[in-house]
Amino acid sequence: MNKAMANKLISIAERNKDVVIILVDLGYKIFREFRSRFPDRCINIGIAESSAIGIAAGLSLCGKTVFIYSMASFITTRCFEQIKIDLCHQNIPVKIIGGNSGITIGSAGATHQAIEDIAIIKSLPNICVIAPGDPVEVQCAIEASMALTSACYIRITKNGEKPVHHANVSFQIGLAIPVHHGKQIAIISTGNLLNTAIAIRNLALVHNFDIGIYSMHTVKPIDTELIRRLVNKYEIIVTLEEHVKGTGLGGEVANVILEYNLPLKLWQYGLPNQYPEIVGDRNYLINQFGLTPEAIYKDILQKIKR
Amino acid sequence: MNYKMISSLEDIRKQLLHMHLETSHIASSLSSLEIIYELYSNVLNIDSMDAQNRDRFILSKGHAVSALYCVLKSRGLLEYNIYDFAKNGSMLFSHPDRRTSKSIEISAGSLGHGLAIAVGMALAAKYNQLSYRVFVLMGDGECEEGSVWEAASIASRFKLNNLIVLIDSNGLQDSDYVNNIMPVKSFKNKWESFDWELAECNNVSKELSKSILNRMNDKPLAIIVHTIKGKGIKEIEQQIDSHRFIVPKEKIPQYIKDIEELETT
Repeated sequence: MNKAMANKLISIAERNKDVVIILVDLGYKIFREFRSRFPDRCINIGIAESSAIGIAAGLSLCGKTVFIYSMASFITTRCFEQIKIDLCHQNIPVKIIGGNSGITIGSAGATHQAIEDIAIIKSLPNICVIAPGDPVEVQCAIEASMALTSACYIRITKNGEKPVHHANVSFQIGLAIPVHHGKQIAIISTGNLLNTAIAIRNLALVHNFDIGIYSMHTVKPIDTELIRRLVNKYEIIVTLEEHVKGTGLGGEVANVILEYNLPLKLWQYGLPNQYPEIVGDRNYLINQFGLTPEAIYKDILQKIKR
Repeated sequence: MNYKMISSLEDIRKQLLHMHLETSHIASSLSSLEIIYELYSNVLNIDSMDAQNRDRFILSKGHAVSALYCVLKSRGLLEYNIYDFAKNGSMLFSHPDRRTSKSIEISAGSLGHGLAIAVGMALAAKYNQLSYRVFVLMGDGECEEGSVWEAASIASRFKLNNLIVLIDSNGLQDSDYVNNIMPVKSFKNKWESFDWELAECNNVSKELSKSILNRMNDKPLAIIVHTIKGKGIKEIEQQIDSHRFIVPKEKIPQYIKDIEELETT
């Protein structure tokens, strides 16, 4: 996803001279080409996340279009108050891109894992939370963010996510993308677990289960209409997110189900609300937390039998 | 610049008495007032709040906003009745809110935010090849916030000579004297070690605009302005508990007398 992001930003910067990227001493390699093409428009302000948000707000108030890139963990929790006041309260359309979200770099431990970022950012007004599911969605999200009049947080990963969509897929912030229509069970996934959702579908097809897949790239504002429409086709909704269960996508879907009194069962899959007790890279932790396609499919089957 | 002000400093001190019958922070407003008044009368180039090249004023110590409202009103830049300050249903929040008026450049109130935003505005001037300057008013207590020093480093690293920080240095913060809470060996040296040009000002009306004009012009400039917290109300001037002081209505005649006796600075 990183490469897709960097390439998209180059193409946007080519046509829009007001685009500026702020780095806080991370992502230097990712933006190497951007820096060589636009040396003055990618500034490294040092290790200072709080200032990055404030500076972005000031630049934006004076006509610049600002992207900030850093690790999701640092650029959300460290500077939460600046995001709240400098961006959201002032309603300024700065775009924050958080890399290595979820447990992408699991072995680095709790400091580097961003597993509560969706929850805290979506609690603020005047900001969209977008977790693209594949490299195509990353590029679409960045393109679409250019038209926003409020801030947005784009949460990405770098686990070699395979493209799921064609490059010309129809993308709109706030509208989920139906990937496969199915019967009885629909998986709504956000972020990098889209590939996991598809793998679950493939496992189920062997048993003649036809699971629907919907990529909910925007967690805030959630696509309420889509969830309401799912009532006509499905009995069970499964949510997938590499984020603390109940506080991100799953929580938003649950709210819609409750608010509209929808006759849908909801089974949430995500990370537990705890810090890692042992070292583990992403694959190790995904296994540990039962988030492999096989483990989730097995769990779904058991729940159906009950 | 020389802009006509409808109200004098003395008028505004009296206005503030009536604005703070239920709301605190009058002492901070009286501390900052002369600086804000001087900027809007003689320093800031602002012909219209829509002008792209207007000078920017950032009130980072947002709790002194009542002084800003009065000065803006006096300059014809505020559309509201200042006596609606902090009243239910009004737009005059007791900390600046960008949604109130075009003349409120940023929302502030949580300390230590203003300088980074000002750095962004000053950088934008460089990008857009505009000549406007960005002025930030901070408290000396506010300088305990770590974010101030992040932004201060960045400002000098990018040689933002269009950025001017004014430190309302009254030596007091909410609960005590700054020197009792977090003493700094030399506040002046601290700024200089961050590679800022440094000036001090003891008399706002006589010295402030000169300090700004006489600067070296290749670094961001910080001016330590020695002020008096609660200036004009004798019994709260430089008092530790002045921060939360609310004006008792029956004392207004006495305070007006104090204000009228105040030597013009």
